[in-house]
Amino acid sequence: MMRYTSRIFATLFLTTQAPFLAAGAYYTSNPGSPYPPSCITLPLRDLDLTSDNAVMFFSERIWLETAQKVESSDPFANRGEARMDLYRVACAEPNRSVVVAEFSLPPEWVDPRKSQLVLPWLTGSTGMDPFPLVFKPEANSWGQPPSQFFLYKATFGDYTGGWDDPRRFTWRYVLDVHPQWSSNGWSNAASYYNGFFGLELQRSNEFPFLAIGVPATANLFEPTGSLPLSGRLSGNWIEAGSHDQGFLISFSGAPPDGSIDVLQDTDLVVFLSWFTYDVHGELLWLTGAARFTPGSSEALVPLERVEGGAFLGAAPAERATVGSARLRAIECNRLEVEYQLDSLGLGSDVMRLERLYALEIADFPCRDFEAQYNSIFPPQAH
Amino acid sequence: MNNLLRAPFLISLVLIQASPALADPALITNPHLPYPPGCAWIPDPPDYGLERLGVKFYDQEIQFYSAQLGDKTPLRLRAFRAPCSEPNRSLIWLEFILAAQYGNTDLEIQLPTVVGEVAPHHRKGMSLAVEPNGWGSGGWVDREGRILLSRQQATTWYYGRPPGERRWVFLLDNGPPFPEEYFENGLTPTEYNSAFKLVLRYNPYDFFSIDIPATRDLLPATRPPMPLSGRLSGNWVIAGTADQGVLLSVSELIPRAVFLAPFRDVRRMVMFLAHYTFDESGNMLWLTGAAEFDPGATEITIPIELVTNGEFRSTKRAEREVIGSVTLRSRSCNDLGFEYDYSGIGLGSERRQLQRLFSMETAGYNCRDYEDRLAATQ
Repeated sequence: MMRYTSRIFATLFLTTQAPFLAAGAYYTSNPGSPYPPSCITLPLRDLDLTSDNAVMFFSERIWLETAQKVESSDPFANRGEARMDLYRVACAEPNRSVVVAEFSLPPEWVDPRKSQLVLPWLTGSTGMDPFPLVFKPEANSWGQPPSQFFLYKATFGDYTGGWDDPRRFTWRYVLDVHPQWSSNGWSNAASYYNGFFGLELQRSNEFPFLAIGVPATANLFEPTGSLPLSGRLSGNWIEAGSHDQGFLISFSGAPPDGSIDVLQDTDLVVFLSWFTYDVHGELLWLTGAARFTPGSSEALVPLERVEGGAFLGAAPAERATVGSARLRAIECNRLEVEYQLDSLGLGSDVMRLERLYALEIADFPCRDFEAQYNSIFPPQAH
Repeated sequence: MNNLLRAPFLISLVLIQASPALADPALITNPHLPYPPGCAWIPDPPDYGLERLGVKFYDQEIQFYSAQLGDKTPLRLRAFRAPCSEPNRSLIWLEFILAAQYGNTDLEIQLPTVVGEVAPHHRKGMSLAVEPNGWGSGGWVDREGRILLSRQQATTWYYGRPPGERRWVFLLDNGPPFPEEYFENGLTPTEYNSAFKLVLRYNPYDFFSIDIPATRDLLPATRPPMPLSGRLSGNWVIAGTADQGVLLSVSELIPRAVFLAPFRDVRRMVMFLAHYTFDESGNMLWLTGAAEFDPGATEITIPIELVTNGEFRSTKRAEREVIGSVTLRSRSCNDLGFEYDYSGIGLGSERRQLQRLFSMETAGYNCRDYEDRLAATQ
């Protein structure tokens, strides 16, 4: 155990401050997430843990510290019993899931004045490789800034369930990689996270009191094969083998409709631009836009050809709808386009699009870092 | 371009009924933010960028009751407004400082709840956010028990507590968007950037307030330029031109990172630009280019290529030729300087301005706040 824990701290000593925080740059998303950022969405309380793509693998009552703990020297005086349920929630990406923890207080322990749990400190391990983990109240976040790591905050007192019985006095968290660890570019974090690993829980200033085996993602889920179209799919796309041509696809929120209610859900808009050549090898650009409902994994986009325009001119050009493209999202790095361009003599077919390298919208990637990394540097080349 | 999109959008907007609140939050970020999502950054507490970038408007000692020390204990509270690149927009940061003399003491510090009083007797729930742009993890009233714990998280025999004062930084944000039947919506961006009173409350009988000055009264008219980032990806048009435009895609380059090697120094970004327009004869013309830049840059020059003699979905290599360049200068979420030099194909050079196509920004990764995007559609 000594060697186990000291390796973690030796590593933490060697690492520097989180680079993106220290840079003072505008907010960037955490590139070190061990799960695809497109997989889990917020607010966490809306996640349906009873659906088919969630599997509970641990459910027990455990003793945790409650608030006011540090005022007492009696180690048992300020502990409360809480139920901890652990789930893996499947992603569209193959062999990827997110581990979600739900803590709930049994009714007999509910005391509005002291119903605040101090979350346990966590360590994951695969074999002899330890890696520090944390519970984060929001997915895809940085979590506690490293410089404040040793000042525990904001991990208790948030009732995810609000006042809605029976979820009152429940808390939900995403099991995530520790900020200090992830900020340093741990490129294979997803493999650790999605494989079988041991999870040890520790109350403050104590040795671990509980060890849990977290089952591997591949043993729980089959790949789902569809992904909702979203802004994370925006960017450059190409068809493998087709040279010097491609697509720029942009997913946007539809213009607000003037409602004051900002909680209103809005449609999304896909704008597709296809840069290619006509039957004579002349430059051809086709564009199209379509609205679709959030959550859809498919959109039908009419394609227009524009002629007779003027460079930076104000006069409208001639527009004609020349075909259509049906866009389907399979995974973060796979789109299908079923096009019909008979009127241009280009026929119809189904194309499979891929990312241009691992390029995804900056700070809003779809895949986790490891998946992006492996698409450029295949594992055997590491 | 405008004609292509505006009419169908407006028609469909009229036809579409209001959908249930947060029916599918999977694809949108929190729309309830009172600040532009493109503005928020996380200050690194040791560096205190707040001092450098923001204007301090409050610096007082407050007290909290400490069960551990058995008495009222001093806690310093500082408040800042930091400007955004968007006009009349800023972020409000609150910083709590525990003096060095208590640095080695295990303490629980209860944080007050925060309420914005935008008009007399008109209060709206707010929260102290650990990170900007988030959903928040609970309800407004559930946050009353938030406690700072001045205690090291790790076991003491492995890691000594670093000496000195303790600092915690929070962004003043709206509360989580809970169903409206429970709570009123938070502050609008206009309210957040106007003068208002912030009430900090430990319990109904123990509270104090801070006067928050308006953004325009506190910060100079000059605003920091918006760094080039993924939030600028999407559709842009040159004002006054028809049926043509520019598509931008900002991506991160994946560094050849190895286990635990910081990639601060090797992480770069790449801007891909496609300008679809017409040549001198009115024929279709698409020009593309890509260039790398460092995070934080506000300007980039991209060599522009013309591609000819290609073949539809073919492996045949086309002919490529650099015919000029485009320089993009970022000013704000909706304002990009566009300086082109297409002399190589007889289209000359000029400096123009790019604007968003309506309020369209990358879904789930907006740059401007809701209020500004709404205004852009009207």
